[in-house]
Amino acid sequence: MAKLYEKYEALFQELELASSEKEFTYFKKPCIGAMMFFALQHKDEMCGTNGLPLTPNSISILGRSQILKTLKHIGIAQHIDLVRGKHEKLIIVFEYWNYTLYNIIESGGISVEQIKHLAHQILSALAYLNKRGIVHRCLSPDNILYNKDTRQIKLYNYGIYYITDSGSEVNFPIGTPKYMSPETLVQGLNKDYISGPKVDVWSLGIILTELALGRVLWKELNLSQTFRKILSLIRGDADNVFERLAREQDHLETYKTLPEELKDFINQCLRTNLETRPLPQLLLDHPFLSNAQDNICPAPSPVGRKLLLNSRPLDEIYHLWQLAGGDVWREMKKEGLNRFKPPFLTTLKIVTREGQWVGETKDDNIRYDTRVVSLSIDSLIERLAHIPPSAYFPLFETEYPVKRYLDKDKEKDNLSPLPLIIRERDTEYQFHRIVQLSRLLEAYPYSKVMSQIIKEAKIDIPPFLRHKVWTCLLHVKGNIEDIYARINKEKWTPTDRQIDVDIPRCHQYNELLSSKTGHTKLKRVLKAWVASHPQFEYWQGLDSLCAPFVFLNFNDEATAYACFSTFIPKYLHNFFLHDNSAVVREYLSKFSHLIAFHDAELANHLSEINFIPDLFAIPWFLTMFSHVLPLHKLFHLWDKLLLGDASFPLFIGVSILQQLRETLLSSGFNECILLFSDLPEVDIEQCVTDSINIYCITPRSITFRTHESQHTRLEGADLQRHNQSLGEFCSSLNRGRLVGSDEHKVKETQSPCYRH
Amino acid sequence: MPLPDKREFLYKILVIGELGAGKTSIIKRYVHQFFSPHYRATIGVDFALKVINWDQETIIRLQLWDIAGQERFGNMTRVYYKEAVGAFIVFDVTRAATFDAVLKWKQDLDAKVTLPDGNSIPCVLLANKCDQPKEGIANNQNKIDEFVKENNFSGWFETSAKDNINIDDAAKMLVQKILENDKVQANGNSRPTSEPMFSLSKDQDTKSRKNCAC
Repeated sequence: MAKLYEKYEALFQELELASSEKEFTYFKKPCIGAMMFFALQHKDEMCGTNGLPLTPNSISILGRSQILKTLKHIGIAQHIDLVRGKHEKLIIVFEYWNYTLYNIIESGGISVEQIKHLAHQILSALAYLNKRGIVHRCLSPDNILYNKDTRQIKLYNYGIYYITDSGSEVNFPIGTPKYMSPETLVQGLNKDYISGPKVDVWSLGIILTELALGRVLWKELNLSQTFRKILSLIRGDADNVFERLAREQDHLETYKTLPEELKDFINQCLRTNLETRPLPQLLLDHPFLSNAQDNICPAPSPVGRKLLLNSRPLDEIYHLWQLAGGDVWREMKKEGLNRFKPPFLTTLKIVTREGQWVGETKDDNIRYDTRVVSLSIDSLIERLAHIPPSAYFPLFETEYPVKRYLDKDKEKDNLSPLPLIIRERDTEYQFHRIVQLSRLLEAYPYSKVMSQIIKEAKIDIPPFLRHKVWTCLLHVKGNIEDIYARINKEKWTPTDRQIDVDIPRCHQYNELLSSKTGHTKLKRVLKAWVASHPQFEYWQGLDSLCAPFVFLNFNDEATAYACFSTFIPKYLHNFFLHDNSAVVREYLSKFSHLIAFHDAELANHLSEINFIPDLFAIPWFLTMFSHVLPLHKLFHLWDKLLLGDASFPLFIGVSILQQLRETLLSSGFNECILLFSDLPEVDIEQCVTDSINIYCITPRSITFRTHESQHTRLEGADLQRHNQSLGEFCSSLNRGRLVGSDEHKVKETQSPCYRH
Repeated sequence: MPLPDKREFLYKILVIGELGAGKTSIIKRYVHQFFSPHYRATIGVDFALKVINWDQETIIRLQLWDIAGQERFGNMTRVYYKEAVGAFIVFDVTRAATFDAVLKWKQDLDAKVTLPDGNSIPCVLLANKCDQPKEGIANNQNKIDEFVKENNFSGWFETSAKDNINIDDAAKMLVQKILENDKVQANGNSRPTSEPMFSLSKDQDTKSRKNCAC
């Protein structure tokens, strides 16, 4: 162990040395590109069949785009994000570098060997996309990134046809005219026509033709002439389109020098008959590609010679970039792409007597702009510049670098305990947290790291990793995909009607949850739960309870389901029985006991005016506050709830009442019911701190419930077991504010006095 | 000579019906003169308070109890129904199934709460979302008239929370009924409450598109 430790230290000394070298700054930066487009706007005041307003197209697109984040293939540029702006504007953010295949074609052709290599890479990427149900539809040389050193390609802009529901949710036609297949052109702008994977094969054929002939096709022709050229290919010899193109381009000589296999390959791509044109997967077996595998040169990456930031995943870099002040809209504006004219400037036209028109004819922004803006991440690099390389690779077994950073953080915290909301926006702090936690999460479910994860989660949970941390805290593991796949989620049940009514009302301010994709996912997970728990029933509120898990695991229904179905027995055991009144009653009376124990004055007042918990606390507890709090607040609450046992929610209830104490004491019944009909602003951070504090000073016997799950009572009480450290955690709290806090040293054996 | 002090009444009114029928929307429209298609589902019970200047010397406060649509199946409702003096039962004209449940709601209501003299509390039926295309029985006004008579409702209205149709009139009718009952109780009169003491139809015909069946 000592040897390993020395080795480790030496490695970092080397790294630190490397980072101090001047040339270090010249190394390749991570590259992120952004592109803007507009979704089709609905006409005003349109309502769907259910009487609710139509979901904006941009939201549908946003929902559908989430799946792109899960695509991982060497031949495609990683999709990072889709950002929604005003007026149905959308920005798509993805991995990008500034050199495309177009630059290669322009600089004159490449060797047959290289063509083979390219064709193989492009087809593999297309076949991968097809397998995931995606058709590129706008494949063209400037949509194919090319790395000159490694000769590696990456497709980008491959998601636009898919996310816009085959182009029906945007105003512009998708595809680059020259590379469009004849059948697409014949269909014109008919949006009901849906393209299959074979359109991309045609586009590939044209691209390869240009590469093989070393010439850009139809460079001088305008749009209608180009269309005519393509359509003319339908007539005549359909099996030898490549030769006809070469002849037409006056490049017959070049054509003749090409190997037969390549000619046949391109001809197969360019079959005008859709029936005989092969699918990408099939073309991979073509003899031309027989020895094209494994031809990619590995990128030269000596240790210490690269920007360390590159060792982090791209979506994480993007997240940090945003924390460091990065804003895609501003970047767009810098490049002159997001200048929006007020509508009256674009519609106003003045005609002089001489017949001259004054005013804009059309807003440029309506058109599809394929320009890509490279996001500058210099500010992020600068912000993280002084972080030593060892921080990128924390070790947990030896506690060496971790301890250093934790100590440093602690010092910082002691000087000024920063509010959670500020810590969450601090680039550097989040960087450390994410690196540390993701390292731990990689080791999950290795049992040794569990206690460490819990320890870290008690400090705070970085929003970027919240879904993963929650999954751990709920002890979700095993083959969850299989379990989820085996549940019948499609069969109609009478509950569907209720679910259908509830989902369009569930957290609809949230973009993802209000999208069609979000509705479908939420419904599927709910149905899966109902189907696999026949002893329970769908009670209204279950949708709100499920929504946070679906939102956090939007691309992973199985995990969302697994978290959801572990959460319920832990905190809401038997709450969803057909007759849950006994469980709910007991829970509410425990709540009354707790109020009486900690704040007799308030309890007396509430019982005097007859304002019983039945009237306000059912939506709190039945949904663990997910029905009454917006998601961003709920997350902070559940971050801590998941560390507590089944009785913890009762303390959250008490602390909410504490915050509203003065108002409640001075109110009668009518004022009270109105106060709670919309839960007033609650300071969640305060509420969380208060509830932990009350939890720690309350004898466990008070919250004993006969309906509590025996199973959860034994485990999962992470908070109680660590009373000591939590005491430290909430040391900043002004204890004097809480009535009953004098009984801090109450022992469990002492029986608390209830007052009814 | 100073005017006599204003009389104030506080009445507890229940608003019940199948889930998604628009109970919350009707209440928000009635109390806040406001409509949004995006109310969240009600869990347990929700509240609103409406103050009416009934006439020169009467102020009426309506405490509206907006009961979750699924509560009929639960056993928690008895607490909510206690001491109610009037009710709206709401169904959704676009979904016939919500009408089929009306009778069950009415029976549930009558079983759980009555006036001090043992009579059922006045209850007005609201056919909500009448701005939308109708489904099933909602198309047949005579049938609903009959249904209302048979099942001892005080009357019924086609309403729309979205377009603000008939909600004020429906409320006025219910309050009228409650006031009558109050008078009956106060006078110790044993006259059955289902018989109106004075005709309501006259002024309402002029205001509402569809009138009640009393």
